[in-house]
Amino acid sequence: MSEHSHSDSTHGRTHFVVPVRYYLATLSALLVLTVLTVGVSRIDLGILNVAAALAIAIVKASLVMLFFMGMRWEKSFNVLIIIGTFFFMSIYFMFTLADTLARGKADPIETSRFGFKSPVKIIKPGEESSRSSHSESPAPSSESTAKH
Amino acid sequence: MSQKEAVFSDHHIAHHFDTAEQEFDSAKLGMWLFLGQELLFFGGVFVVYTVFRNFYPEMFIDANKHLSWKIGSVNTIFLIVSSFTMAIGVRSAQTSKKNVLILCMILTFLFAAGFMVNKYFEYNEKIMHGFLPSKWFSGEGHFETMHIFFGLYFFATGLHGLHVLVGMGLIAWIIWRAQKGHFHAQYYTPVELVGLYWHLVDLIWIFLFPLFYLIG
Repeated sequence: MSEHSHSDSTHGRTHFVVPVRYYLATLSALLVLTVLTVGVSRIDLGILNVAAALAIAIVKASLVMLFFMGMRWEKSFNVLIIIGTFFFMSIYFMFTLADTLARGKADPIETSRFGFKSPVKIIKPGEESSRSSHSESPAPSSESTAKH
Repeated sequence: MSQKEAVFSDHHIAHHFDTAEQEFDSAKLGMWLFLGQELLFFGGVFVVYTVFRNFYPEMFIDANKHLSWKIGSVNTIFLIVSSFTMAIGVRSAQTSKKNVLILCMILTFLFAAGFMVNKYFEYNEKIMHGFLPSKWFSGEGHFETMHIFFGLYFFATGLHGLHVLVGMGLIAWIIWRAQKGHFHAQYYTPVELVGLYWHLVDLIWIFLFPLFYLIG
């Protein structure tokens, strides 16, 4: 097969014709990795399950891009387009997840690190009536600070 | 050479290109830009997935039990093998092997059709149980946020399925043109570009499969 492909690459245009063994090896690797990813998902590894699934998916995706899509032999500018795509996608992920993964985590960090204490006294539903008489004194003081 | 000209039709370079090489490279540059856009477009789905899976990890594991990993695995194998037959098909076009090209394209088309048939049965079952997105959800589950999982499932796999259908149309077009002898070592740009598109469809599924079918 490989000697055949050598003669092919010379008689066409200047394009490189990928030898069949690359495609066969990619196919085999992808099938093995599919069995592996299903197998790993059947075992409980906790958080490692997600990591393993993603790692295998990234390896599979790389194989598809490098060999089936021929990026291994592709012009470097076209490769740059795809690298740029993944770069911008990572920004998309990071900026979004910087918010959503961290929700509710900012306050505990602040109290433990800087010893902040909230000046607000949380009013519970039952206590509301007893505190209503007390609330008159802070109200004028806030008004006076606004004047100064 | 005279025998070859009888089977294949010549390709005329468009007037705004100097050489066939330049024409080919421009087409491929455009295709890579389109594929980059496609990746970013699907990237949005994966970002939403990550956000919601982080918000409701238990719900995702529970809702995932309603998807069959067996059907998912069979579909994964269908797409991987179809990507292989596509790669061999493109190679056959590059080496002027018309019959192998047509055979490979037919095989790719059949695997794609098999994928969609599986999808049909899968969707049918979800709809029967009321596992639908958003306000259409009428199924039973342990989590009140379960409709989010099926919203994502239908949006992600639906968008991907749409790409498979478009790919099938393109493959049929390639078969039709290949039979007329349009593709050979001197001109195979459409085969190459449809091939790239098809591998991208495979690539997206490689991520969708573990994220939806193989949780917990």
